Amino acid sequence: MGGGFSALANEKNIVTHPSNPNLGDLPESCIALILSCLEPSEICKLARLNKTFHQSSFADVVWESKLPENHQILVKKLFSVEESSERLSKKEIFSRLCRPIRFSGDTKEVWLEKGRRGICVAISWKGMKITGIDDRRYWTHISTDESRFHTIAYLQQMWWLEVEGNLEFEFPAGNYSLFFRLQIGRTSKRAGWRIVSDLEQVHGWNIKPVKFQLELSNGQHTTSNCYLNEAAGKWMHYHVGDFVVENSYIPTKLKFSMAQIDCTHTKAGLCLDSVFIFPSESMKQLKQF
Amino acid sequence: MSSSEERKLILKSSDNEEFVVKESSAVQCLTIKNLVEDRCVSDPIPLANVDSKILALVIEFMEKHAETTLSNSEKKEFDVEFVKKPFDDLLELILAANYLDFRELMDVLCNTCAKQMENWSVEEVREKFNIQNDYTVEEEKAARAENPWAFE
Repeated sequence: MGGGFSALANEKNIVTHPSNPNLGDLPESCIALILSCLEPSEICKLARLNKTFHQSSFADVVWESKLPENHQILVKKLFSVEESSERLSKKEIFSRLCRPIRFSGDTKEVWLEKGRRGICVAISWKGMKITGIDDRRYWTHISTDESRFHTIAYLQQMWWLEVEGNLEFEFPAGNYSLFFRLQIGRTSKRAGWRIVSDLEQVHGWNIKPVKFQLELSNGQHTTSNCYLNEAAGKWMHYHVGDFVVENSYIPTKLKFSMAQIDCTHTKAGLCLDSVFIFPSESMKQLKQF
Repeated sequence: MSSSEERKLILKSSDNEEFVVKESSAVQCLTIKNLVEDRCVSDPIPLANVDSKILALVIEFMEKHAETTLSNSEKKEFDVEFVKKPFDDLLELILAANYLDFRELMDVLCNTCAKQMENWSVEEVREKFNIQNDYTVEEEKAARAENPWAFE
C-alpha cells in the first residue's frame, strides 16, 4: 500500500521538506524553471546569486524555449564542423547564435535577437550583383565603421542603377520584413565630426522613384516604388516588402532588387550598405545600425 | 454528468488529512496520473511531502483548471488572484507541484517568482529572499565576468 509511490518519491530525489523553505533550498530543476521565465540578461545576472542558481542556469530547459525551433539546422549550417558535432548545451547554442555569425564567404551575417527570439540576416553589398560595381567611374568602395561589414559602395554617377541579390536560408516560421540600408550623400569624419561631403553631387533621386522588389520561390512577391528623398547624410532603411515563412525546416529562397534604370536622367550620390531581414514585429525597434 | 458517476480519489496529506478529489482533476498531476494508469492506486494515496494547508491549495487550483466550462481568460484571472500569497507559501506550493509533477501549477508559480526577482540587483535579491551567498570572493569575481554576451 503506497509502496510504489514512495519508491517514486525517492527516484525524484526530493529534498526533505524543510519547515521554512528558502528560495535557495529549492531543487535545481525548480530553479531552472523559474529562470526559464526570465530574459537572458536576468538569467545570467541571477546565476550569480549562489552556486545552485549558477548550476541551474546551465540547464537546457532554461534556454530551450528561447531558441528558434529549427536551431539544430542552424547549428549544422553555421557552426564549424567540430562545434556542430559536439553535444553543445542549449545555453551554448543560444549564446553563439546571439552574436553575429558570418556566412556565404563573409558577405552575409545572421544573429538571433535576444529579446524577441527572431532570426535576423544582413547581406552586404559585396554579396549582391551590382551593374558597373567594378567600374570606378560609377562606383567606389569605401571602408567605414558605419557598416557592420565595414564597407559600403558609393554611387558617383550612373544612368543605370541596378542591384540584385538572393538568399537561401532556413528562417524559422514567422513573418519577416526586408529593407535596403541606404544613405543619400557621402559622409566623412573631420576632427571628430561627421559631415556630409560632396552634397552638390547628389542628384536624380526626386525625378523618378526607385523600384524595389522582393520575390520568393514559393510565389510571394512584392514591389514598391519609392523616392529616395530623405535628408542627406542619414542612413535609412527602405522597406521593400514582407514575407511569410511557414516551414522552419525547408530553406526559404528569395531574391531582392532595387533598380532605377530610366535613361533620361542620371543618378548620383548614393551609399549602399546592405539588405536587412528582420522579424516583422521588430520593425518598431529598428535601430540606426 | 452526476457526481456519483465520477471516479474519485482520496489524497492524504503528510499530516494525515484526507481530501476527496475527482480523478479527472487529479490526473493533471502526472505523478498521480501514472499511478492511476499503472493501477497502483492505493486508498488513500499518501502524499508524504505535502501538508494539508498546501494540499488544499493545490486541490483548489487543480479543480479550477479542470473545469471545462471556464474560458482560458477566466482561468488566468483565477491564477492572478491565486498567486497573491506570502512568498513562503508560493515556495511550498512549488515544492508540492514539483513532487506531484503538476506542470500547469508549476508554470504559474515559477512565472510569479521570476517576476518578483527580476530587475533587482544580485545583492538586493539575496537580501529580499534570504539567499546564502556560498561563493568565495574569487569565485564571485569570475562569475561576474561570465556571459558578457547576455548584456550587450
